[in-house]
Parts: sequence; structure tokens; C-alpha cells
Amino acid sequence: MTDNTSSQRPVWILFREFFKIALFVIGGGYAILLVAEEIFVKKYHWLREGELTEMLTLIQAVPGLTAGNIAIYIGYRVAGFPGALAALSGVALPSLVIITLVAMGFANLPMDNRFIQGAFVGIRTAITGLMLATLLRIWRNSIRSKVQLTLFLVGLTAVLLFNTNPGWLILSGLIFGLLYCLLFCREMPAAAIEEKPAP
Amino acid sequence: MIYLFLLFLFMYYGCFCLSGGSTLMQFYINDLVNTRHWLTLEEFGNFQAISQITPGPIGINLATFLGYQQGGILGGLVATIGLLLPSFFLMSLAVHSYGRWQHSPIVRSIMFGIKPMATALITAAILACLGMSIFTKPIPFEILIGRESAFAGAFDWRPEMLPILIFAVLAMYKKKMSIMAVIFSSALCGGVMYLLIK
Repeated sequence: MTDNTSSQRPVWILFREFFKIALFVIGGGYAILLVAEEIFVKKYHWLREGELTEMLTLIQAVPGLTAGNIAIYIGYRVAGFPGALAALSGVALPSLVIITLVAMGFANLPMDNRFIQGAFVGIRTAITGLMLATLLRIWRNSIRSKVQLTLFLVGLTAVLLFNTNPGWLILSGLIFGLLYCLLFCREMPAAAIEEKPAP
Repeated sequence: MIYLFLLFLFMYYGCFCLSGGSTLMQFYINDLVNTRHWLTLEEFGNFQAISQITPGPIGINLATFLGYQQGGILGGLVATIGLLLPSFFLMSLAVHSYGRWQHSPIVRSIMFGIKPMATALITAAILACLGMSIFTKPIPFEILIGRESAFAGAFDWRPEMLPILIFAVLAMYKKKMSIMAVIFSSALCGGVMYLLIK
């Protein structure tokens, strides 16, 4: 194997770079986007400047984890299906190895220790806060009309009071959106996929 | 066959993994915690905490952890593969034909209906998470419609965690700090508070 990066196969580079990204970027999501831009735009020149930020709408609109979708997008753009598979494997492999090891040791953690108990409650509280911040950020873009506010309230009530399966809620939102917009809207809802990056 | 079951279960989650994974929480809480009783809400919260502080994207970490808990090493592997598989095909397809559906009225209509539901799921997940952080038990909303709640008794709260919650919301919303800085300082504060107060 040579040191010259351009002579290596892109599929292997994709796997290796995404493996490194997943290993060193803790937290996932938006942080990965910035690092991936640094590597694939500035170092390899495989993507246009600003392309990833433009594509964030697509990455967020298609079902899937932000980190996974970023990997698939770049992989597919560079080398088609094999590229997407290589990038996705690279991004998932560190988690598989590290979490398996952590999960094995998890049972031995002294959970009756006061400090550890408090630390876990602290992290759980912080995660609640992070989700709240995400909600505040996406709210304006998600709930733009009274119809959407009604949908939101119906969905929330169904989950909280009746423990409704979230899958049914999303499906009914999908069907309602189709019927409502195609039958009653004179104008299509503007900029359907346009979202601020979630953290 | 637990592995096949895990694979299909997480493929199902993968299909409904909207807003970059934010809706997943409610699927896990509704399905794994409330319906299948694979783990308690607090245990789920601890898994989430570990997934957040270890290297790797949190969504993949959590899927591996949940899969491992049910089916060991192979369980973690199939759960992760299952979660990522739908997005692999959907995302490749989307990149391939982006120009064609970018302005499609059908896609816009679908997003019009899905977004409020995804927002409702995120809100519900936040309320559920309050039940393992600020409160010691899930908030018994079922009481509002006169239903018995399994958690009605022994409802207590941890007022000492309120500053952490407010700090985390502000720090993330204003983007003043990195997620990791927020998480680790909250862990430290929580640990010290427990040593001092209780």
C-alpha cells in the first residue's frame, strides 16, 4: 500500500475516514457533518464547498440517523452503492466494538455508589435538556399553521394518554398530509423540507 | 429466533427514524419500556447516558446497547444493522433521484403531515425523560382520563436537578457549549450534589 491517498481505492478511503470520524467525534449528528466537510471537501475534493450544508435538508428528511445518512450520502456520491456501504460500515464499527465492551462491563458498575448514581441522574437531566433545546429549534419549522398545531396536539394526546404506537401516528400524519394538501390546499405548503440543523 | 426478531424490530424502528433520529426515543420508550418491559425507564436512561458519553454516534451506540441487552454480541450487531438498513436503501434512492422529487407536491404534502407528528413524539419523549431526571417516576398522565396509573404512588421529584436542566437547555439552544462539555459538567454536578445532599 502506498502513502499516496489518490492511488487508494475510494471505497477503502471512505471506510477508513468514517471509522476515524465515528471514533473521535463524540455526540454524533451535526458535529460529524462539520468534520466530514473538512475531510471530504478540503482534503479529498470529492464534494463541492457547502454541498453538505445544502444537503442537510435531505439528510434530515429521509428516515435514518443523522450520522448514518451523512455517511450514506457521501459514500453514494463518491462511489455509488459500494461507497455508501463502506462509509456506513465505517461509521457503525467503532460503536459496535466499544459499546459491546462497555455493555459487558456495565453490570460490574457500582450503581450503589452515591457519586455514580448522581452522575447518571445528572446526565439524564442534561439529555432531557438537550432534547428540549432540539424541540425549541425545530418548532417554528414544524408547526407553521393551525392545522399542523392541531395535528401536533392530537398526536401528543394520543401518546401521553393512550400510549398509542408512534408508528401509527406517523403513518396517520403521512396520510392526513397527503389528503389534506392534495384536496384542500390551493397552494402547496412552502419549502417542505427546510430545517435548521439539529444538534 | 431472537436475532431475526431483533433484526426486524430495529428495521421497523429504522423506517420511522425521523428528524435524524429524534423520534426514536419515543419508539424505544413506548415499545421496549412500556409495552415489552425489556428494561425500566431509568435503565433506558442509563443506556442513553452511556451512549452519549462513549465514542460513536449516539443513535448507533444506543441500538447496539439495546440489542446487546437482549441478545449478547450478535444481538447488538443485528440491532444496529436493522436500524441502519432502511436508511441505507432510502437514502441511496433519495440521493440518486434528488432532482426529481425535490419540489414534488407529494413529498411536500407528506412532510406537512409528518412534521407535526414527529414534533409530538419528541415532546412526548421529553416528558417521559422528565420522569427519569427531574421526577423519580414517569408522570402519570393516564390519571387525566380516569385510568389507573402504575406509577401513581410514591411520586417524588429531585429539585436539585432543575439548575442542570435549565443550564443544559440554555447552553444547547444558544449553542454556547459543545454537547460533551454540557454532558460532563452535568455528570460532575449531579455526582457532587448526591454526595453532599443525600
